[in-house]
Amino acid sequence: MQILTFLIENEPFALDITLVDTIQNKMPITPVPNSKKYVIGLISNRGNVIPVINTSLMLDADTTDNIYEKFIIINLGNEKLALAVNEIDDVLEIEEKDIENINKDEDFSIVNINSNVITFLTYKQLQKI
Amino acid sequence: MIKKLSNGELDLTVLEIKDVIDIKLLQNFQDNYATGMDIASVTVDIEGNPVTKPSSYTSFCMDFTHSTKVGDDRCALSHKKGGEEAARTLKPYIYTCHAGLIDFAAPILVGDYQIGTILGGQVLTSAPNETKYRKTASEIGVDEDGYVDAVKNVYMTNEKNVTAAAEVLYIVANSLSQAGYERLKLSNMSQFLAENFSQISATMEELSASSVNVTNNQHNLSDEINNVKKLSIEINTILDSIKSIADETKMLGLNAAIEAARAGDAGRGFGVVATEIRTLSQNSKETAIKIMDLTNKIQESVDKTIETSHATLETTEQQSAAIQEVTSNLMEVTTLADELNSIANGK
Amino acid sequence: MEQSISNDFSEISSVNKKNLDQLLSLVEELVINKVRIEKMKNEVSDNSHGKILDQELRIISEIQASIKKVRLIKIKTLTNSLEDLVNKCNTKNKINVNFILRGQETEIENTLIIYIHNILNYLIKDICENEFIASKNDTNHIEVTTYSDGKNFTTVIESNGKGFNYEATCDKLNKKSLNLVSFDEDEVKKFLDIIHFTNNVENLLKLRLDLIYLDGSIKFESIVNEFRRITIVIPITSSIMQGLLVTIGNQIFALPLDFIETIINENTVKTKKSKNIEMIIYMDHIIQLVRLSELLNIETVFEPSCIIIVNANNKRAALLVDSLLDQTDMVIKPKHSIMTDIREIKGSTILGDGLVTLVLDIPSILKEI
Repeated sequence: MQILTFLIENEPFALDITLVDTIQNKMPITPVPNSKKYVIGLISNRGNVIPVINTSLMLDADTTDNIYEKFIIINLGNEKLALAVNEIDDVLEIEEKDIENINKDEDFSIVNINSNVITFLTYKQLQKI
Repeated sequence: MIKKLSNGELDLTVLEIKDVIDIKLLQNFQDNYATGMDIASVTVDIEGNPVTKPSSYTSFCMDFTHSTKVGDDRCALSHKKGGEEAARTLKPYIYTCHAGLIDFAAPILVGDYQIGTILGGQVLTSAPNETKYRKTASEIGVDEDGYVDAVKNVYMTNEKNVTAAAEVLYIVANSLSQAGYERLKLSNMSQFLAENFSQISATMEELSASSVNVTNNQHNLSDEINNVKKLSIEINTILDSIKSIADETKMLGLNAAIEAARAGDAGRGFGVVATEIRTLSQNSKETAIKIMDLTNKIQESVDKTIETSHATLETTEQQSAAIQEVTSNLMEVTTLADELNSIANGK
Repeated sequence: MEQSISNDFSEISSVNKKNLDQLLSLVEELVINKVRIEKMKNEVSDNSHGKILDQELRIISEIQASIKKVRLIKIKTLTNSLEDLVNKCNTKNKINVNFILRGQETEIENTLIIYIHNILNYLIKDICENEFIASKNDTNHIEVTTYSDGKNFTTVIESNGKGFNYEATCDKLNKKSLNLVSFDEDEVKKFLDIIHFTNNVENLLKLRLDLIYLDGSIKFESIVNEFRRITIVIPITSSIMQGLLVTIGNQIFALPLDFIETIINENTVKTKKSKNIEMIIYMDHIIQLVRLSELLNIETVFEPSCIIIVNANNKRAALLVDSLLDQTDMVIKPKHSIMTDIREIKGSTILGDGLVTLVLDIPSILKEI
C-alpha cells in the first residue's frame, strides 16, 4: 500500500494515501468562533468548505504555535478535512504488515522505514476529529 | 680638454690650464707682475709647452742664451728639471739655471693634480762671475763680450725677494686654477642636474599621465565590479523563483501520486511519472541551492574586491596627487639648476 | 389510466441522486459568478466583451430556471398511490370515502416527495380508520390540497369525520394551538391519546422529527362532527439565499435576509440595561440587544455601530454588529459535522473573493438569548 509521509514540527508522520484527496499550499483561513481549539478555521477548496485542523494540537503535542505551510485534504466518509502540516515529504510503498499497532484499538500505530520510526495516523484516529 | 668621466665627474688627466684659467687674464697678470717685480715669467703646460707669451724676458736670455740651439736646449732641460722638482714637491722650487741665473718653478695644481707650471726668475742674487759666463758663452756659441755685458744688466736681488716672488706667483696661479676648477665643477654638476631633472621631469609626467590612467581604470573597474554584484543579485532572485517552482512541482508530483493511488492499477504508470516529477523537482531545487551557494560566494568575493579596489583607488589618487607635487617641485629645482648653470658658465 | 401512469412515470427519470445534487450545487454556485460577471460587464469598455458577458448571464439564468425544474416533481405523481390507499381503506373499513387531491400540478422538490407521500399515507390511513363510522355517511370525503407559494409548500388534509373538541384539547394541553412541532414528545403522546389516535405513535413521532428537521410545522384544527384539518407546512429550501454581510471584529459574517426586519444606527436609539440584559427602545418597542461579538467571543476594536432587528418564530432581537457591508446572493453550504455544536452558525458560504464566510443561524441565536 502507499503512504504519504509528512512532517509536523519536524516529527515524521504518515497516512494511507487512499484517504488523501489532495495536497496544497496553505491559504487564508476563516476562523470559526466558539469552535474546538484544534480547529483553526475554514477554507474553500474546489467549491467545498473544509475545516482546517491544527494537527499537532489535535495529537496532544506540547505545542504552542503550529507554524504550518501545507494542507493535506483528506476524505473521511462524506466529509473532507484539511490537516495543517509543516512539510510534505514523499509517497512511499510499504507492506501492510509494516504497520505496528501500539494500542489494541488501532489508536496509535507506527511504521518502521529504514530504521526510522514514523507515527502512522489511522483512519480510526482521524475519525475522532 | 674638458672631458667627463663615466660617473659624470671631470677627467683631470686631460684637464688643461686654459680649461680652468682665462689665458688673457693670466697673460695680463703675468705681464704686470713681471714688469712690477722685474722678474721674468711664463706659463707652460705639463709638457713644458708655453701657454702664455713670456713676460719681461731679459735680453741675456732672449738675445743670447736662447739664440743658439745648444743654449735653447739647455734652457729647456733646465726648465724641465725645475718643473719636475716643483712637481715632485708640489711647491715652488728655486734653482740656478744652466746659465747661472736664479730661476723658479711653481706648479699649477687642480686639487693635487698638476696641470701646468708657471716659470719665472732670470735674476741674480750675487755678482756674476765673468769667467764663468765667458765659458758658458763659448759653450753655447754666443759672443762672449756681449754675453758678459748682458748679464751685467740682469736684475740683482736677494734670495728673500726671489722666494717671495715665487710664492706670490704660486699662490695667485693656484688660486686662479682652483677657482677655475671649482667653477668648472659647478658648471659640470649643474648641467648634469639640469639634464637629469629634465629627464626626471619627463618621467614624472609620464608617470602622472599613467597614474591618471590607472585612476580612470580603477573607476571603470569599480563600476564593472558593481555590475557583477548586481548581476549576481539578479541571479539569486531568479534562483528564488526556481526554488519556488521546484516546490510547486513537488506538490504537483505528490498530488499526481495521490490521484494515481486512487486510480489503482490503472494509475500505476502515472504513479511512476509522478515519482519522476518529484525527483526532478528535488534535483532542480538542489541545483538551485548549489547555484545560490556559488552566487553567495561570488558576492562575498565581489565585496572583498570592491574593498580592495576602493583602497587601491585611494592609493592611486594619493599617488597622483603626490606625483603632481613632485613634478611641480622638480620644475622649481630645474629652474634653479638652470640659473645655477648660467651663473657657472656665464658672466 | 394506464396512459397517465406511464406519462407520470415518464416524467420521473432515474438519476443518481448524488450526481444530481452535485450538479445542482454547482449550478447554484453559478449564481455567485453571475454577480461577478455583472460587475465585470460594467467595467468592460469593449462592446463585444459586454455582449458576450450578457449572453453568459442569460445562459446562467436559463440554466438556473431549468435546473430548478429538475428538482421538482408534480404532486399528481402521488395521485394513484393515494387513491389506491383510500380504496383499500374503504374496502377494509367498510366505508365509502371520497378522495380528492387538489393542486396536482403543484411541484415539489424530489427530496420532499417521498416524505409527503409517507406522511399523507400515514395520516390518511388514520383518518380512514378513526374518523369515519362504518357505512354511515356517503358524503365522507378526504380532501388533500397542496400548494406552494415559493417560500413554503403547504399540504392540507381535510376530512369531514368525527373531529375533536379543539378548545378542550387546547386547554387540556395548555397550548394555544395544536402545532405538533412545538410540543415535546410527552405532549404529543398526550394529544394523540386525547384524539384517539390509534395508529403507530412511534411513526408519527418520527415524522414529527423529520418535520422539525425540515423546519416545518403540522397543525391540527377541528370542529366536532364537522371537520378535521391537518395543515402541514414545509419550507422550500432553495440553497440560494439573500444575505446581509456585516463585520464583527475584523471578520465578515453573513445574515440571512429572511429574518431581518430592519437596520438602524446605534446612536439613533436609546439603550437600557437591567440585570445584565441590554435593551433598546425602538418605535415604542423594547427589544433585547445582543452583542454578537460577545456571543461569538470575538475581539472588537471599534465601537459597534450597527443594529439589525431580526425576527424569527415571532421572537425579536436587536443584533449589534460593527458595521454593515453589503447585500449579496449566497449559496449556503451546510455545516461540517465538526461544528454541529456551534449553534450560532448555520453554515458557510463562499463569497466572490474565494474566502469562506460564516452564515449566522438567527433562529438558534434567538433561542439562545
